[in-house]
Amino acid sequence: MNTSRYPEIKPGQKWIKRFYLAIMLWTVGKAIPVAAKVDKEVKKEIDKLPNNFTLRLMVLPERAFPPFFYAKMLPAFVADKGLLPYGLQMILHKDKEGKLHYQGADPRGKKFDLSMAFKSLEAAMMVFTFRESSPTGYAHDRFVVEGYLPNATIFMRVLDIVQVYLLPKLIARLAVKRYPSWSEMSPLKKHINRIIIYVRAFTF
Amino acid sequence: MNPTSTQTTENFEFLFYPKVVSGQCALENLPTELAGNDAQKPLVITSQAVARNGLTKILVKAFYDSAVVIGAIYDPVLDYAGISQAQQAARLFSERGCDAIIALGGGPVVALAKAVNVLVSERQATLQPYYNGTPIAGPLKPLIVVPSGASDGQEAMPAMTVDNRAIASESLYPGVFVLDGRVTIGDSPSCVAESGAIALAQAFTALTMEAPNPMIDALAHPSLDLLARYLLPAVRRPKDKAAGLAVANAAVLASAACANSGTGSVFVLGEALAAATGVSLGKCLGILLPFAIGALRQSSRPVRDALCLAVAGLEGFAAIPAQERPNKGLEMAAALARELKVALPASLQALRVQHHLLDPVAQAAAQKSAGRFTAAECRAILGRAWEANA
Repeated sequence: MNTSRYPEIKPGQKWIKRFYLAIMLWTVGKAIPVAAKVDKEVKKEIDKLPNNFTLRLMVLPERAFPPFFYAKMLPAFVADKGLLPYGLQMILHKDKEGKLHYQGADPRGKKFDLSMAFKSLEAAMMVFTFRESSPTGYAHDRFVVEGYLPNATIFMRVLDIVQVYLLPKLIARLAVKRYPSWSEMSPLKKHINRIIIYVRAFTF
Repeated sequence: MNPTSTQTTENFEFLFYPKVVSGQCALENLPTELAGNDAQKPLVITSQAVARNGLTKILVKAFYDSAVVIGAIYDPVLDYAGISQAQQAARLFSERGCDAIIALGGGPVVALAKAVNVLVSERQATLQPYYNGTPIAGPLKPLIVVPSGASDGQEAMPAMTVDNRAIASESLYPGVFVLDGRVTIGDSPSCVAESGAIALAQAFTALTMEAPNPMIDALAHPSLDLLARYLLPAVRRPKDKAAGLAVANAAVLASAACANSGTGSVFVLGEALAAATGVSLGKCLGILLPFAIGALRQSSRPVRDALCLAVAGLEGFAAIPAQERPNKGLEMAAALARELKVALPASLQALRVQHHLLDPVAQAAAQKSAGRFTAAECRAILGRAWEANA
């Protein structure tokens, strides 16, 4: 048998989707710590997490999505500030005083108390292109969770609220489980908090 | 309470092994499933028809952005699984250092993948010891099945047929089934109708078996329910992804139910007819099923209401008076099978089966059934199916 008729295949890469997801994870990761400061609901949820707690949201398999090369060139304390989208991971750390920090996408030297991973790039795309809301994605087994499950549900609730702030209503309705009514979140409060979150999160 | 509704909840054995991953983007879960089985270099076995339809390209794209390398795509399989191809694929598996097998397709592709798995895992050159009764020691390498629209009903069973000889072992259950609408679409209406006829025969057999148990019902009921709702849309529009996926799910469920319930009269008769005439099992079952159901209606054997519930749905079931449900269930199942005629021949005569073959086929089926039914009963069903006379 001529085995060269059946060559080995090294599958390619979907660069555009990777780039899109890196931007989305970076945006959400930067917004959550600010939302914890301006929104009472988010703060209440974050307070339920233990102090000195690190969580990450990533896309599997980890080996296929290393942080972009410039994150490796920079010293860790710079990369940890998450100034630029470094890769397909989003690391959040709640320090000893209960403050939440975004720590970029570089997992080196960090120990995770909760790790939530999308099973594939397409699964992450389903959620981050809002074809499936994050709770629906969770119900459809798009994630693998390692850690204490109640903490993962806390994070999902936080993600729900942050998406309401970050996205216009038309898109946010697709992304969240139930869009809050006027009595739950007044439009004035929503728009003011949205401006604060965008300004504080992305003005470095 | 209707005595025919009672189930035996004691004295039964049940095994359903494969994990089923179904739905949108299910193919993209393959790297995760491989990683879960500690594998990262699979050998893909598929058929020429599947490769021609572009399904291998879809499979390769599902591995994009993963750490998996595909050892090779072995695609010369036609409609027959033979030992020479199994040996070739096993050599390829060893040379490339593969550690798992993915079967993309149905019927002979899955049988060949199981044969390759036995050869590489047991380090054998042939399957001869297993034909002679040597048990497969197991555990085998991870086997993931990605079924296409064409199925022979054996995919989820702990058995394989290579060179027309069957081997059965619990080690032959595939590890994972991945069902994705992009792959489960049918080639043609007749291809979907044949797969559907096999699934229908298996689910019907499992729901009308003499010693029912709740575990088999748990698989056969949703299978028949899915077939009742989606089989005809899938036959009419073979490229309909939702209907194709539903029929593929029904086929896996029916196959697993049948693996536990054993084969019924219609299946044994279909297999004997297919072996004698060389016609595909799906076509034989598609023609025989309405007549076998008709024969069951005429017999005095009790039929449970579960059949009516599965075929008619909850609303329809509630609208039928209790005493009419067994008969109505059989009637509706026969009507469903008859509707496959839009894509399959109406009679054995139309299939150009020689009339003189009916007697030997009936005798072979009666012999294979080990006394569960007689040659005369089989011959009566075959006679009606030949003339298409209900």
